[in-house]
Parts: sequence; structure tokens; C-alpha cells
Amino acid sequence: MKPKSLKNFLQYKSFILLAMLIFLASLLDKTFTTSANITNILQQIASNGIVSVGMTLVILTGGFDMSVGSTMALTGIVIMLMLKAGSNLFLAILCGVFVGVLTGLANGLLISKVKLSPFIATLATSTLSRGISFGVTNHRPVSVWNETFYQLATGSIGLIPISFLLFIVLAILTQIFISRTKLGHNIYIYGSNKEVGYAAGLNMDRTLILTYTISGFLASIGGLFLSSKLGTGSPVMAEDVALVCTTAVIIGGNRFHGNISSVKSMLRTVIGIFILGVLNNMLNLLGTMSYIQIIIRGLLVIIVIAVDSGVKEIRSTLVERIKLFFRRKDFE
Amino acid sequence: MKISRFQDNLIYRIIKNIKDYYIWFFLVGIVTLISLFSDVFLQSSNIFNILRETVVVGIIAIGMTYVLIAHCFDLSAGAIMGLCAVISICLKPVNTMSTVLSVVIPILIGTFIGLVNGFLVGYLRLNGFIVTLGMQFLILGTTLLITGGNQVFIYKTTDAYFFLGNGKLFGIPFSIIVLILLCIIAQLVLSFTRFGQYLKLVGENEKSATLSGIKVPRVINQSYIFLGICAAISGIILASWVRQLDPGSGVGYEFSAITATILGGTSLLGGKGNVLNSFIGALIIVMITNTMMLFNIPYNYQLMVEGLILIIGAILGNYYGKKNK
Repeated sequence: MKPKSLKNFLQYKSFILLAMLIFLASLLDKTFTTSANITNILQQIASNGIVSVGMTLVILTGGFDMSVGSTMALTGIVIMLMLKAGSNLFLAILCGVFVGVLTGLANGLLISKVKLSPFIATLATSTLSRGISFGVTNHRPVSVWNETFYQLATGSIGLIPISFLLFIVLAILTQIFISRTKLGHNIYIYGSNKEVGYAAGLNMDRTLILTYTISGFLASIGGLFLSSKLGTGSPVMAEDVALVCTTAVIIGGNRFHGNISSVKSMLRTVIGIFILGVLNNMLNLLGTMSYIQIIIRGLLVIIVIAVDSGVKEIRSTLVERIKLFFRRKDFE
Repeated sequence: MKISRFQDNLIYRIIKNIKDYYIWFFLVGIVTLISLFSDVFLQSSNIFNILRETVVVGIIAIGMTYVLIAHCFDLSAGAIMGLCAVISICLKPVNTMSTVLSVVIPILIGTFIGLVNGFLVGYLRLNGFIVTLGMQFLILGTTLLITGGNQVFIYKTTDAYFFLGNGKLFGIPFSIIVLILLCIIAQLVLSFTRFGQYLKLVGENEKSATLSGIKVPRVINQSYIFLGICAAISGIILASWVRQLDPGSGVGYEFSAITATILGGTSLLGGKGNVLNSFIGALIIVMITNTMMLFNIPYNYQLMVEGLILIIGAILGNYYGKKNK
């Protein structure tokens, strides 16, 4: 086998996994392919998907964002509290999103200027904002009925929910941002080799702050849809979102320290989110316990990265063997 | 270059590296501050209470220090702890045989999970963060599967099992003795054995460690196994102490342990760390939480203070870490 075709195959393994999953699901359960179920899946993955788009950027720079879950919760709570106080829906959403941007900005500043490790900084802001959301709600969920706000998450155009549409639009916009603009391209440079970036005079600190701010912004958009879907803002919601979104990004094929060649990052993330969504939906339809879903999710992560590094190793040894073989012939 | 007798002196080294021990001054400061406001705080019952609460986080923090020194990462420690605690209770320690089993089997399981983590991270060179994230899901799912999502409990156990979490030896709770002994042994191993030196070298610069003939995968593997054993021990002690557990209760402890370790000055970049300081870090976190409970401060402020402590600790650790290099 030529090494190049093997490399291409490696790039598309998450697609193959998704195709296999969809095939398996439609074989095992007839309800899977009904339009109602598909709409359901699309609606379920939308809020986590929007968060994962931001998470992808963070992971490309080689960091993590543990604070997305509590940002989502806090955004939902702020919106609900504003609505309860009788404010305009638009203003409430603006305030909620502002909270997310602020958290992201704080993360970025802590990591780039104070030089904390991304994990520590985001864990700290996560704990802080979780504390704030417990404080402002007095440890109780807040819920207000607002028809327009509820329609945001549940409304759909034809078969496709609005939230899913927004997820795809955001993914495409972010992909254009990171592959077509200089500012976005710096994110790849930071991830692959930040020393080179510094040496070339690029403003790496600003890149990092921008990355985390975008992540915070998208996390709050995700929180908006989550709270709109649930109709409530609760301080305990979205606790495992950070880990699940990291999982989705990794399963899709993105890696820490992405390099310049990885131009399809957002596509991979979308595939990763779909894999998790389809898997969950399939297991739910089959009536398996939710614990098995958690186990399978964990196994999937380990297998995906083990296969990745295994195939890489085999490939490099193959390439070496081939090179050695040809060199010997030339020599003779 | 000849090293003078004076420079080789242990006391000289401690004084020279006094900055590494800033956490001890931090502890003294906090204790003085709290005891000014509360007269209950310095009573022996409260001190023992704080120490007993420290045990669970503290023992995980010991293992976490090893893993972080080797420039690796573990998110699965809390889940291992939960699994071991649940299994220890599920084995129903009502007679001698099952008591032995409910101590030995969790430790074997912890060792095995540590081995798997260490194999994946050390030998296969996978990213530690992702691997242990997957392991966390895997172990949590298994724990829930074993228990069926219900609480596990046991009311009557053998005296020996009860002793592990509640017994007293010379007036000091047994679990505290375990914690302090483990701490001292781990610190001695870290400072005075070849393994400890290898661990620091691997964390500091993996390439140069490989070139100087250290078996890097083996060292990383051993550090993960040690963490697995530590998590299992802390799980057994927790199980024996509370005897009623929620299957998901372990998750979250790894963050507390990492916070304690970072507060103790261990760098996430590897190569630097001190087990005793991690213990003090865990102690400080528990002490502050305990005091807030004494003063009836709501949970949300506890969370916020925890976040702030993490930031302050990381900044201090950064500052002193840089000065030493």
C-alpha cells in the first residue's frame, strides 16, 4: 500500500466510524430513520455542538477549557433572572452572552498574561462561576415561561431545528475564520509552534486571549440553547459538558497542538459530535442502561487515539522500510 | 569542582531552598488567622476532624504529585477511588475472609487500572489527558453498572474493617496515621532513591532522560501504578469511614487532589514537586472549607474561595518555580 493513500485513509476514519454507526443503528432499530427521530438527534446535539466549536479552537492551541459547563449554567441563569425581572428578551440574551465573553476573557488573560497553565486557570474560573451561579440563584433553579425564548431551541425550519442550523453556521464561520484570516491562522501557529510565532513577531498573547474569548462566547450560546430547551436555568446543569465536548473533538480527529495542515478541524468536530449523538440515540432506542453509554464513550476515546498512534507508528515504519528498500537497490 | 562539607549539609539545603516551602508559612498564617476568629478551631476534636477529612484527598494528592512530577496527568484518580470504595463495600466485610478480600481486591483493582493507564501513556506514548479522560468515563460507567446506580451501604462490619476508617491508635485516628506514614515514605522515596531522581529527570526533560539511559516508559508506568494504589487506599478508607456511598461520588476528587498538588508548588510542567507540600495543600483546602462551615457560610462562597485559592496557589507556584530555575 502506498503511504499516501494510507494517510488519506487515516484522515477519514472518523467518517467511516460515523457511517458504520448510522448503518448499524438503522439495521438494529427501525425508528432510527424516521424523520422525528432525526430531528430529535439534531436538536440534542446542537447545544453541545456549539460549545465544541469553541473547544476545538482551544484544543488546537494545546489547551483545555474546563469552564464551559459552568459558563453555560451561568448564562442560562442570567437570562432567566433577567426575564424574571421583566426585562426584554433581547437584552437578557445579550447580558447572558456578555457573561460568557467575560469568563472567556478572564481565562485568556490568566493564561497568557499571568502564565497559568490552561487547565488550572479554566478549572479555577469554572469553580468561581459555579459558585456565583449557586449564589445568585440561592441554590434553586430559576424558571420563567417565555414563548419566544422557548421557540429558540424547539422551533424548526422544515425538518431542521433552528439550533442545529445555527450550530452549522457557526462551525462554518469559525472554519472560515481560522483558515482564511490571518488572525485565525495564528491559532494554528500557536498550537504547532508558539516560539516560531513569537520570533516572527506575531502577537501570540492576543491570539490566545481571542481563542478563549471565542470559546467562552460559544459556550454561552450553547448555554442559551440548553436553558431554552429545558425552560429553566439551574446551577447544577451542564456539569460534564467540558469533558464530553473534549471527547467529541478528540473522537472527530482533532489533536492537541494541531498543525498547519489540519484545515478540516471544524468538519472533524461536527463528525465527532454526530458520532456521540448517534451513539447515544442508538443506545437509547435499544433500551440500554445509560451507564453502558458512559462506558462506550470512554472506550471510544481510548481506542480512537490508540488506533491513531498505532497506525501512525506502522505507517512510519512502513515508509522507512520502503525507503531502505529502494536505497539498497540504488546502491547496488 | 569540590563541594564543601557545609554545602552538602541537609539544613543548608533546606535554608537555601526555603522558597519551596512557602506553603508552610501560608499554613501557619491561615491557622493563626482562623484561630483569632474562632475558639473552636484549635480544639483537638476539630483538628482531628479536619485531618480526617484531609485523608481522602490527601492520599490521592500523594500519588498525583508523582504523576505530575513525571510531566503526566491523571483525570481518572477520583473515579478509581469511587470504584474501589464501592467494591470494598460490595464485598460485604462481615467475616475475616471477606474483610481481607475487601481490602486486597480494591488495591489489586487500583493497581491494575494504574497499570493500564501507565501502559497507554508510558509505553504507547498517548496523550495522558485524553487517555485518563476516557478511563474516567470507563470506570465511572463500570461503577454505576456494578451498583445499578443505587447507593451501596453496609451497616455492620467486622471490627478490623471498622478500625480502618474510624479506629484510633494512641489516641490518633488510624486513617491519619496511614496518611502521614504514606506521605513520609513517598517523600523519602522521592528525595533519596534512584526512582525519585529518575522521576524528576523524566519530568524535567524526557529526551535527555532517554539519552542518559533511563527507561522512561517504565518510570511513567510506575508513577501511574503508584497513583492507582493510592486512590485504592483512599477509597477503602472512605468506604470504611462512611459505609454508605453514592456510586458517582468519586468523580471530582481528582480536581481537589490536583488543586492541592498545585497549591503545594508542584508544576504542571513536570520535574518539580514535593509530597509533603501537597499534603499541606490538601490540608489548607480542607481547613478553609471546614472553617467556612463553622461560620455557616453558604456553599457558593466555598466554591468561589476554592477557585480563588487555586489561582493564588498557581501564581505563587509559578513565581517561585521561575525563581528556582
